[in-house]
Amino acid sequence: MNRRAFTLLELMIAIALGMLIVYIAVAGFRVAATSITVTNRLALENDLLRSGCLDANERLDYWTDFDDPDNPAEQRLRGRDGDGGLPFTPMSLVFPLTRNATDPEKSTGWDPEETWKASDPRMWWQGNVAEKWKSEMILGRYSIFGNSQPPVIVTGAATNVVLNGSAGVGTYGTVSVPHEWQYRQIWGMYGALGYFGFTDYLPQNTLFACYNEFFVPPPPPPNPPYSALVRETNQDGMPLVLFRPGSSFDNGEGDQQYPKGLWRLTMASSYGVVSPTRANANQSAAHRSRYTTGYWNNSGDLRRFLDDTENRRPFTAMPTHWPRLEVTTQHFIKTGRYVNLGKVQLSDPISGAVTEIVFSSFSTTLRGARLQRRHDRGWADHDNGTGVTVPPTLDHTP
Amino acid sequence: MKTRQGTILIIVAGLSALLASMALVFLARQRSSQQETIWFEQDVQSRIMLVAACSYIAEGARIGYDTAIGAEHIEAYGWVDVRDGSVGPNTRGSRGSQVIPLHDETRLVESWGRGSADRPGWPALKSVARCPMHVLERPPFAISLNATPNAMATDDSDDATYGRPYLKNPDPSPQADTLTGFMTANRDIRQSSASRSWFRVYREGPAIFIITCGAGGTLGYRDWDEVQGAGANAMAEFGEQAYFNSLRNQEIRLWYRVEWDPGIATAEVHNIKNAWNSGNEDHYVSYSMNTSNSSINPRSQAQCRNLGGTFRYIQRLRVPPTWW
Repeated sequence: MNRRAFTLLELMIAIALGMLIVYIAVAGFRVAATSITVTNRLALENDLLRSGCLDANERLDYWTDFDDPDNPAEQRLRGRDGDGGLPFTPMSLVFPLTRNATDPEKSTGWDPEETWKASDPRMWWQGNVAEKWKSEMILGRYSIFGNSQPPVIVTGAATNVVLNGSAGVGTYGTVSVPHEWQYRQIWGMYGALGYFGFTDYLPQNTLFACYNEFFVPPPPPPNPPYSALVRETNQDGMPLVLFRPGSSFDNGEGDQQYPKGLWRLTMASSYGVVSPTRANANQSAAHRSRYTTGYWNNSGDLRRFLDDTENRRPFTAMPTHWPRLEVTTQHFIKTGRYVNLGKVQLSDPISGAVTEIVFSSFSTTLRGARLQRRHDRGWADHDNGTGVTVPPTLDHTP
Repeated sequence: MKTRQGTILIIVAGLSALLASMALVFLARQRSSQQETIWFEQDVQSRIMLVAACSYIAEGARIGYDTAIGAEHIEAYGWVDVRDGSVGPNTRGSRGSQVIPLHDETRLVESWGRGSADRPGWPALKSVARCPMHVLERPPFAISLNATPNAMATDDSDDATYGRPYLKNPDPSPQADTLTGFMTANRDIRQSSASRSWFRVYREGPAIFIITCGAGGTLGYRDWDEVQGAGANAMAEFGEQAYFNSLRNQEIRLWYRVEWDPGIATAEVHNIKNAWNSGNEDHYVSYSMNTSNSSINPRSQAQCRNLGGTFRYIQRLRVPPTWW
């Protein structure tokens, strides 16, 4: 009689225990594997978010998603048309420099070496800070103190120049004005880089108004040309586009009738750099627009602002089952503050969950970005070593 | 019997090995992730240094410096003097038009490397300000974080204090217990904040600066040569070159070029309107720059008085320039 065997009871118990152990082992393994998978997924998402934030900061510092110096196909913001240039248009095309060493007042164009000393009378705004756009000139004709297009011919009354225009003052004939440089800078920069560049380049305390040649626009054709409207002035030669409430540049807040500084111009609205991904980004008119971002905005205003200025790009090529990562950068001004905004958005193709990190970065300004770029193509790396020559940048007139 | 035992052993060992390998991969992944987080933190830290450096430049334009003229900081008139356009910072004498330099380009007191001094002291042209950033145990005039120094008593057993807002303590409260302690500082460095970040400013031109932002332990020294040039105390911070180089290799450095400008706010009607708006208003009150819509009166106590200037541009540099 061979006793070396299990009884049925032993066998059943052994099988049951064995199955239990196997079940626990399999369940434990599955839990461990699932946990590791979930943790890896979370780690991957964290990695992507981190990489996205780093990438956004780099893009904000180098503006490469607005203008890639190494890739001509990614330079849509370097053109110009009849109304002016774009944020990355070489200054030599839109406001070329001609220095006048004998009389700096007569220098024209953007000088990247100009330090804008506060003590220099050329930097002083010589106009009437309380002049209304309708130009009653009750405090005098200030265009004879400074004018971008001297000499000024003052022949007295001018009529029918603007609605409700008054008769004007003075019959002085041809007047040589003492100052012309600053108004030429203001008006030149108005046309150079778009509204964002206009405010970015001029000093923080600039009064955005100037005196030009008196200009009466011709009777409007059925579709009035933009250029003629831009050139329209009041009787004292001040371009109305800069301070007539409700113009393309002036938000009209409070119906303030007189010249304004940066804060007032942007306390209820914004200027921004139009994303090169927009179809009309290569047209100068697109960059001469203000966005209502103040207290009276509505969803349509904000939608237009975001659609135009958000530069949304996929992070990089990734496996399809990975979370999708988009990096958005945006440059605009609001309430006198320049904002470089980064937005990193992670969306999971499996769960549909979306995670978004939005942050503002203290980083390179538009002028700084243009100084990073060569006049023609490529990078212009700055060096201050003795005898080192830095190639001309987008701001230089070679 | 031995065969069955061997099978179980193999199965258990296999499962264990599988779990161990998964755990190892997991830990390695977490270790890698942690390292990337450290780099990310350093990147953010170094960018914060750009803010600190720009604040330093802006404030340094006006706050002034200790000089032999007096024991207190002498107020200055900008990196480019707003009065006459000369290189600043300068202060004034008995008359506002007097220009007394607070900088000296001819007096060489620092070194780029070993050897004799070959660099003027801050804030002269071509000088360097090296600013390791850390938190003091207690800065001068430190305010306590206690937001409710006069909390109302909630114990209703004491009728004299229950529910009464007695102003027994100053609000805000000083961090130090004594007036002398409040006015002075405990300059010991909080260890948790030491050697984490720094910035360094090189004055390239009258109003142009190269800012180096760092996150790491080199305290803003450019290289070992500069440590040696700074003397024995600086060398004692690191001990030996290999250690300094190790710290250097682990830190992040970013370079920026900025240009300072004295312009702040526009002298437009909006900003000076209240000078004639009402007879009893302060003529020097200006609307705050940070409100979205001002009414008759200024809405912010701070009034956003930026007296240090602004920046014409900020330019990130892809490669470090020769001098920084």
